[in-house]
Amino acid sequence: MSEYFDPAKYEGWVCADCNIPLQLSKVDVSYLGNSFPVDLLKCPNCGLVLIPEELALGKMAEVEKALEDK
Amino acid sequence: MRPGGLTITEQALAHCDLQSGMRVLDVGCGAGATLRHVIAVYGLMGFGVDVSAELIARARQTNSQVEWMRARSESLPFASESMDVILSECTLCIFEIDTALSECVRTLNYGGYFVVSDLYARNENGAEALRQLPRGTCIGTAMPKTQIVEKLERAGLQISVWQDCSEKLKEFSICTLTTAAQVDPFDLHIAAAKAKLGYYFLVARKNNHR
Amino acid sequence: MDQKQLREQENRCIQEQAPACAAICPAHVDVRGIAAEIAKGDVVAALKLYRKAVPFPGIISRICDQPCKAVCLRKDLGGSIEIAALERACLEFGSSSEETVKQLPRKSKTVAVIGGGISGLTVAHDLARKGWGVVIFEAGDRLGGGLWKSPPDLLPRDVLINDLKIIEELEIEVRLNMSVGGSGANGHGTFLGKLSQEFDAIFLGVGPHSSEIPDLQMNDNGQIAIDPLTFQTSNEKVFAGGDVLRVSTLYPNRELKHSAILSISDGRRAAVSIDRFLQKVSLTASRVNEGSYETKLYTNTSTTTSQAPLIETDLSTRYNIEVAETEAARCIQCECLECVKVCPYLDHYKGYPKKYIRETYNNLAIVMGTRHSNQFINTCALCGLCAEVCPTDVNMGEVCHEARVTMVDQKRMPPSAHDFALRDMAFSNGEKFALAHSAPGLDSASYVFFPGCQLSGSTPEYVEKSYAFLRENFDNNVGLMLRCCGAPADWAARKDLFAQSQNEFYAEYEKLGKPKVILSCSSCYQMFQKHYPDVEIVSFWDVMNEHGKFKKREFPAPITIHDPCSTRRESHIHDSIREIITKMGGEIQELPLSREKTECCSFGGVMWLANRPVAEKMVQQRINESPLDYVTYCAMCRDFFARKGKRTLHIFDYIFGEEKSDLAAAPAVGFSQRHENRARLKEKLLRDLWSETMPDSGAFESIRLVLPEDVQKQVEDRLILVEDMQKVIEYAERTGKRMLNNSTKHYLAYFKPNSVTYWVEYTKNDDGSFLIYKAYSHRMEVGIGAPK
Repeated sequence: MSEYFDPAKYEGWVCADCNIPLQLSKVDVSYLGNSFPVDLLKCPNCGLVLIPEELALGKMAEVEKALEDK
Repeated sequence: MRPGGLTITEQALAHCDLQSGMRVLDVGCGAGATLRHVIAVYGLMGFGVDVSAELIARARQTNSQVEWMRARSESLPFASESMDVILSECTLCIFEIDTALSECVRTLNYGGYFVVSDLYARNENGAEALRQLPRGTCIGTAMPKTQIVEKLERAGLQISVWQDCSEKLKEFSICTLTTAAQVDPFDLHIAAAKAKLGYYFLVARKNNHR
Repeated sequence: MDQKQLREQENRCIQEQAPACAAICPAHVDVRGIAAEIAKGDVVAALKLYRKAVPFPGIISRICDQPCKAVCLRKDLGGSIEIAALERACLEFGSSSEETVKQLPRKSKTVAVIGGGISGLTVAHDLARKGWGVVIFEAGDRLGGGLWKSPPDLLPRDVLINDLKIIEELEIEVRLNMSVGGSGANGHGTFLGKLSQEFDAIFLGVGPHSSEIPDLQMNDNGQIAIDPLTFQTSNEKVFAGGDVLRVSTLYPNRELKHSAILSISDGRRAAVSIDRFLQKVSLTASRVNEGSYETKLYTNTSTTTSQAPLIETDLSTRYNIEVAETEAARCIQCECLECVKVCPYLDHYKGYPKKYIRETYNNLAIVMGTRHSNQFINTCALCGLCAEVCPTDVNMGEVCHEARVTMVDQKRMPPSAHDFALRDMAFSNGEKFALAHSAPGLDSASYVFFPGCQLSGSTPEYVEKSYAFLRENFDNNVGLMLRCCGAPADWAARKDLFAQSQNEFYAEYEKLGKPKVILSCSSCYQMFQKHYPDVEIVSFWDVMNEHGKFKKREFPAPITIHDPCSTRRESHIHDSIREIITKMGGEIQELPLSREKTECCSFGGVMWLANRPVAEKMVQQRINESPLDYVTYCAMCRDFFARKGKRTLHIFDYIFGEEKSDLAAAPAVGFSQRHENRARLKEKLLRDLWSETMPDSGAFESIRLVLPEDVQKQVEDRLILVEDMQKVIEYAERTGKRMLNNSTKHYLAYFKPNSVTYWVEYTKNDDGSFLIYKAYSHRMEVGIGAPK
């Protein structure tokens, strides 16, 4: 499983619009022209993606910094 | 699949004085796409080696003119001074580099061309970040330019062209370069960014024995 | 960036200059380094440093005339460092039998050294170690020349003999009883003539009697002509040293001072020339600071306390190791670092301007910026304190600002580096805050009050009151302009955004009839001075001091003043502030660093966004300087100090504030509240003074949020504004695009108004407001691939 967040923590979340549980699937993330696929929770119907807090403030922030040379 | 694909191969070969009938060896030839292209375009005699039996078997099915052999680049099944051109594309940093280089130099004719395209760490100080990645990625062993140049020169090669083509890497997802599925893609990109992972090609010639 | 200017700043930094002792020593013995090593207890390392400068360490440590002692900064603070005694201690406690002399492989060319005195021996030693073959010709029957004249109790003969053993170890051939002078006419007949045929180069280290050497040209003074830089004579193969050199270069001074350390220096310099001559490279290139010179290094000794050596010392004193360590520890370890001592930012990166400028230059010149260097460049507060304390006016603020300009030009500025501050600026120049009006009832203005965005954000009521004060004192002929001066864009080196802001200002300014601009914010004042040279400006504080009627107030204790760093060059403002406080009855105790030497609160240069840990150090250093209440006259300084718990007042608190409430303890105003305050200020002033209403607000603004205290703190730390969260919820509620947690019934939604995606977890309250549980953001984009 992915090391960047724990999907088990997010089991209770559903897409409110489509009323179906989010599923782990490949989603492209990108920054400053660099793109790569990662496993994230996504609504299989409308494609709404959940970015967990720990991912946004953790690995994502690190990638942003590294790519920015900040 | 590698960054830049055949475009880089052609750019690099444009710096070589190729005559039809020359003998070209592709070290780490995979399923042989590059070699098939090169022999067709330049009229060369082709030799391909790869460690993967499966890839060599696939290569054999596609072209019977080329001599396809399963071998390690650290131990090439060819006589000394038997090749005019050696191609190493996106493979150099997965080899045991010093051994592979001395094998290639042994196999090359004096004045023969050694054509490389590969990943490198544009930020010398950031290369350490790459070493922290789990084993099994060619990214983890990418070296800075100074180190690559030094290794080639020590092996008896004279570099005549070094061209950065890092823009080709941007169009190419570096995740596909790693076979180790357990690598966290975020960690991979953090390390690549810190090292300023780039792509280059070079053309070198084997020093004359004089 | 102008590389010449950069280089010029780099060259001005004197930190890498040698200390006075090493500069004045003709052989440049690293006295400071030796003392540091001994003080650390590493006599072996100390001896290594000493040997590097001196080939005959035993001899020099006993007969050196120690020119360093005359310039030692300890001289009047207990007495100069006893370096010769320390050198002897190195030899005594640091020598080992395993020491070997490193020598390069033998080369084919050979050199004749005429004269076995200490300079000749130095030449022979240096050249032999470089691999050249060396033959010494000595007129007497032993090597050492004048050394044998030293009193034996000063220079024991075993020490002398022991030091000269190295000549043998280096396999230098010695021919004794060979006199250079003598017979023969021109050319081949002379001894010198013969030697020049036999050898590739000759060193002439003989006495002053030049008449004995007939082959060399004389100068106008009748002395052998010797190049003062290279020591080369008219015969390109022949180089001179020793007394013959001294007589020639010091003419007509006939007093020959014999100094062993000077002879060593002469020998070294001649050896450099000869080595280069034999290698056929330039004799003159980059030969700076050879021989004795005066250093440019500045060392501040104002806080150094006087300390005498443990025991009285002369050239025969022998230290035990403890005494040696104590003596070495007396060394002041001269260095400048004036700027680093006052700036937590410069201190943080463990270097000094010369090194920093070099790194900055490399970062810009080599197209590849690195994170470390980019962050260094963006962390500077641009406050100019370094230049103020620098003996040579090196200004890291100018360097860093120029570097930022280059980074922006090269499109290498990290996009998020200044984003928050630039968006704050955009808000202030947007319709929520920007306003330009002549006074109620008038069409144009003689004056316009420009309070700036941060005072309006922190304490909008003081803007109202000060505007009223100005109208009262200038016959109502004062307009009002609410907007940002452009400082964030200037600090972020965004010339485009600055120009845009400037153009908007000029359009309004001209409509008002080009009034005098009254500025209360010191950053605005600085920006106007720098970028609006044609606009006449007045400091609000000067006006207040002149026209204000001040009531005496209760001051329970003395207060101290923190001058905002942007007033550094504005002593008239410093004076006005102090006069105002005095008029109100306040007693002022100055901070050690105030007025032109004041420090930045970490808001300057957008430092607080670029590097939070360093910014924290900066604030902390400033607020720790006095336990008294601080009084300042910049809204950001006030809030930055208050946020760290320092009791701080804005001078407006005294002038307009409620006397009974403890305003020094008032909390800092958060980022969302600053926007809110600005918008409300504009709305209120429009309504009260001009009977106008605000333009319609966006749909998101009607979203009411409830933020528990911990969440309030969280969003403030994460630089997420109320309006950002309002936009997320408005979007989610309108479109239904949100996630629901089945057990907690919380909603989670996101919205990306610009380059940042904001996430909010919330529930809807019965009264229609929204309770926020958390908010976070990221810049990475989701679901959008790079072009393949």
